[in-house]
Amino acid sequence: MIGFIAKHPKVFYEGVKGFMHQALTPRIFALLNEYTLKSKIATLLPWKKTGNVVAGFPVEFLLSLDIFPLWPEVFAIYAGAAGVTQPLIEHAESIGYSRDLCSYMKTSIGAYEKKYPCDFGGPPKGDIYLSTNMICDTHVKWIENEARRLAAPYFGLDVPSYVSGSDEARLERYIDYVVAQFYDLIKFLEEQTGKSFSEEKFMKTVNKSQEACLLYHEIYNYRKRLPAPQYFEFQRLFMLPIGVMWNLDSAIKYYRKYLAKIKKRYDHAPPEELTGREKFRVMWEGITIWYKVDMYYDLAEKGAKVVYESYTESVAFRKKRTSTFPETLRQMAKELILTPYTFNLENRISFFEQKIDEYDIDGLILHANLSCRPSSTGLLDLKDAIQKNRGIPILILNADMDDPRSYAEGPTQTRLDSFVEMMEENQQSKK
Amino acid sequence: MLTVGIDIGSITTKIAVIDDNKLLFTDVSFTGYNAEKAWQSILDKTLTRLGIEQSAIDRLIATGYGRNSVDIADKKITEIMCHASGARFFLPKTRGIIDIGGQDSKFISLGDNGSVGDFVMNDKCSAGTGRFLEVMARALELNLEDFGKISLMAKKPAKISSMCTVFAESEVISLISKGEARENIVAGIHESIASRVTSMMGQSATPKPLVLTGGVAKNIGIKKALEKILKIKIEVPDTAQVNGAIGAALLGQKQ
Repeated sequence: MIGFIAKHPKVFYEGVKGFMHQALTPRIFALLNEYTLKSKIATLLPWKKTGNVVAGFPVEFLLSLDIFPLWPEVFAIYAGAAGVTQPLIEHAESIGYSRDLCSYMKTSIGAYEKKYPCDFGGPPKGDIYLSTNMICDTHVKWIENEARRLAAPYFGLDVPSYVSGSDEARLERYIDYVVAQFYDLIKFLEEQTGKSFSEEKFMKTVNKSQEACLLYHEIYNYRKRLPAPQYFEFQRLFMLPIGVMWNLDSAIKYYRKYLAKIKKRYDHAPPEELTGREKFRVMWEGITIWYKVDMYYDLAEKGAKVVYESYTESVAFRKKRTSTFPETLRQMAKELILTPYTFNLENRISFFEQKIDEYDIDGLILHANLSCRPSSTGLLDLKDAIQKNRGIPILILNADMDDPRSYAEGPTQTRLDSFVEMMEENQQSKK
Repeated sequence: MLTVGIDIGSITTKIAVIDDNKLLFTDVSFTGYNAEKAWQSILDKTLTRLGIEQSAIDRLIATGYGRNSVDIADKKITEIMCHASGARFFLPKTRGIIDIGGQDSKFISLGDNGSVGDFVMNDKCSAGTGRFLEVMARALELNLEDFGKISLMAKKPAKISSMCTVFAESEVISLISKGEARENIVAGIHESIASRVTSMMGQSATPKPLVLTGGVAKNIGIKKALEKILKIKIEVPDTAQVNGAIGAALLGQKQ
């Protein structure tokens, strides 16, 4: 880090300013620092194995064999929140990666090449590389390509898309297929570590994951309350501990304490202390715009608070407690297959409408994310159907999660202001 | 009640004065590089022309890309709402609006009660806007005023396939060098803009009546090209260019 500061003092200064501008609490900051520090230490220890993984990969297999998971995607998020991604993305493009490709991937590759520390986007080199296509095809090629570039072993977990969402027999066959690959994964990890896989240790690890995820979901559900306890600008950071350290006791302790605080506020406080409904309750679909937290602050200032995002809800994958090893493998496979991003249009519409009702939503923003096509597919159809069925304003916002070149300040401001005005008109016409 | 609407666009700044729902005055001037100077100058000129003091204005509403520079505005409202309001003033039964301004083109659909149901805008590209027409007029050595009229003389509109302002200019230059008639090129440019705007409008049925607003509405060639694709008659108010400012002043009457 000292070398990085000496070499790039301006980037460091701008980055710290960017982090400070986020809706970070000292506790989340400390938790994220703990993960970053552990990542750095794990990379330095010669006897410790590390594995570079993508969102959704079942890391419990790695953890139970003492492999420390490194998340290049999360490091790219750090760079996005710091507001330092553009030169990194441009560097990746200069070595041949297309402008259309994922900006997380390009941030990560650019930061690795420029030797940035992980706090600023640079993933340490892992001993092994693992990815899955459960939410994104780029994940597969990104990590596979990194493994090839860096001459490291690679494992790809193929998760079939359960498009129909209705054929139970097919789902069972898909689960069989994924579970079979779990056994291949165990074999691969045993070969890489020279250790024997322990079902008991694995179950302990999964239990911790389940506990963290269930706590997270319990907290999440309080966002249905009026007013919601937390909004997107905070939720997107609040989800990060679940993304990177769901097995660490400190994260579980944090979520447990946080839940107790929320319960006290909502379940035991006198009703007059709950100040009522937000002026506009907004739902956001797609990945957040990391480098533009001001956009969320501005929306909030106009009374439009983002109270639900399927993206931050789906990050906690473990949704059900299990007790036996075979049952756990099947449940994990099912959780990998059934994610909102893989739903067909019909199921996506139902899913969205259910959330609009549950969270009492006044307007929906669909982020047409220029470098994330999986999350941007079908937005026009989704918009038409939901607008017709629910009659709420829906805005398709063109931008990018990590690439500020795709964000146009003036036009975006006009679209968001119009969206707020439409929600206002809609509310007035209902009176 | 005397209300003023100021619409600060990327090319021109427009002003409208409404007194008890009657249009009293409108004016247009170039925005230039300084939006603040542009609205102050047009407001001062308007007050002088009307022989009134600024204190006589009951409400001032700002709209357009430069709306946030109007620090004396009672309210800042987006051009989406203002164009809808202005178009309804012109034609109360309006159900759809195509607004083509200097740097953007938008389609606004109105609900049964006249409120804005939805809108779409061009994204990060000036093709299909007033700026695009300016570049093309310069390449063809024509005044913007003549640009619309000349296209009506076209026998066979040229195909302008490119949708980018910069590349379309090269395409036009190549057509000129091939000896293509100027009126055919101009008509082709209009058709390419109309095609871009109508594709943005989507596949659903075109709402009727449909009103064309914004500075580009003054161009008869664009209106004809849009009518040709949409196969409906499009209404163009005489006040099309100042429609956003009128709408802003009208919204001021309601506040």
